[in-house]
Amino acid sequence: MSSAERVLSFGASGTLHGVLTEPDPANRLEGAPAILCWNVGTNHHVGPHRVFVDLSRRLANLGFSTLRFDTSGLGDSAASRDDTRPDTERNVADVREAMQTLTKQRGFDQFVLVGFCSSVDAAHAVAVQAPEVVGVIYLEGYQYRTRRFYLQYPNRLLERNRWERLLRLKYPNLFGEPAALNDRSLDPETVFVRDYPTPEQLTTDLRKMVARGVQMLAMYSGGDTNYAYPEQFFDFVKAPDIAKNLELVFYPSADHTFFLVEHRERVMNYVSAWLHRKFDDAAPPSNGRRQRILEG
Amino acid sequence: MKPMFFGDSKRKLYGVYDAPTGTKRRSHAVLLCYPGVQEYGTSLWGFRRLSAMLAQAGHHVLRFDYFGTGDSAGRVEEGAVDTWVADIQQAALELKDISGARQLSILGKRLGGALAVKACQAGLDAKRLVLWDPVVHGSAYVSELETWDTRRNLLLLHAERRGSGASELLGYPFPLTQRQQLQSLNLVGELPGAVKNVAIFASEARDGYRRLHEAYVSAGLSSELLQAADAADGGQAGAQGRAQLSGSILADMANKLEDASAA
Repeated sequence: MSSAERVLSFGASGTLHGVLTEPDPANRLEGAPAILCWNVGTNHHVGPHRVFVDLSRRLANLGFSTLRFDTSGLGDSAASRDDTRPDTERNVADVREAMQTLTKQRGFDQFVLVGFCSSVDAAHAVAVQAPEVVGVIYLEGYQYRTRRFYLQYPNRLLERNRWERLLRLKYPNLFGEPAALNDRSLDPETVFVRDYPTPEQLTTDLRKMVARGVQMLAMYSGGDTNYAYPEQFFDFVKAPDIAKNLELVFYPSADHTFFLVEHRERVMNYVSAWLHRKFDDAAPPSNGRRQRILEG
Repeated sequence: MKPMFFGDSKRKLYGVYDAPTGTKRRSHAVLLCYPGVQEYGTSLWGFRRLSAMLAQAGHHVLRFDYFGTGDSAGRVEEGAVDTWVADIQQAALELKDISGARQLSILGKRLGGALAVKACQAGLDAKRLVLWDPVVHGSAYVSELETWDTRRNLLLLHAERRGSGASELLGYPFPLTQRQQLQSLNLVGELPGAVKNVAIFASEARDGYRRLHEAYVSAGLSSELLQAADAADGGQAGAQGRAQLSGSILADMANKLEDASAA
């Protein structure tokens, strides 16, 4: 199926830029929300390993329109010198600008926000406040260590991959690997700061959204994250009532940015299927499962 | 910054054009060629800064995504050396068209440098070619990326995925045909067509850069081999590890392109 992509410039002085991917008019889902995604950390709007480009095109085939854009000062969007607001506040304003633009120019009145790692902050903040947000996707969203997390922690000592990492990176020559394998300068740097809500605040926020009927998908990976078991979410959000609007997915073999192609494919398939189930009236009803573990 | 799509409707390319912003306005344009997709993410910010510096100096600048990368049409696995070379030619035409500039220079980083040389060899004319840590020998380049890939896989607990011959590289699909095409690249002995003026910026001393420079000098080209001002900027670190770039390297390159427009 075909789709069209065009540059969308918006914001007070037209200095915010993104790419709008729209389905073929014959394939458009009438009344469906527009999907929005933006920078993960300091990544460009294409997303880590181009995931937002692939996702946008996939969603267009299902009839959804998606805007992937750069917030102020990142990627292809300029920052205003006069704007002294903190990043978190400015990001929220940028997401709202994007929604207003899609309303004015394309007639959308409902939105689904895709937060991925640090971009979860703005997605969550806007979703709590804006009634036009009908869905939120939390990819590697808020996570808090729990008692069970710490109890399970020693199990990591039994994982072969962790020992292999330790030994191969520390002594590459012993394994016939180039010495450059031990070069830490090759690793990505963490350059952004997060403002986590407390678990209690998060619970309050999520309850507000449930009351509004907002649909939520939360996906967590394993690896070196602070998430260690499928139901950890409901050990820090102590509100089982939220489960009626929130689908929880745990992908233990995946890493934080879904580095492997196969892992990204599974995540995109899941996200696409979830959007289809929740926002396409013609889709078959959900099987009612609220928690899933992705294997492999 | 003016983002746009250009080219054939079935394989549209995404680019960002910077018009001159300073007091000077030259009839000289600069085309910036990104590295390969595996090094794209860590190069974007430097290219944005370089583009802004050149625009401030009065140049028209275009940076663009090759087919199958960034926002351009296509999937990563559909990319091929020939199509990326054709993309450079297409982008050069677009830049001349939107800017009205009579003269064009090209800057290419890593794989983008090698592709720029091939585009010039295929007939694209440029006043000056600036090659930033260019890929000289494709086999060494692929091997280098594979080392980073191994490290990244180990770090992310995907130890079973490490090693050469895999169908993906640094998080992107890497089909065999693409691997073979890249491995067969060898810039030494390939002249950049009608281009007579080349500057090679090297972040670290590599035999390949010296041999490339010597080959160009032997062929009668005006070639300079320049040490990048801040060695921490480029090469391995600049390509894979660092999000930040010092302005000194970019300023040196901008000056080199400035020379081209003044010549």
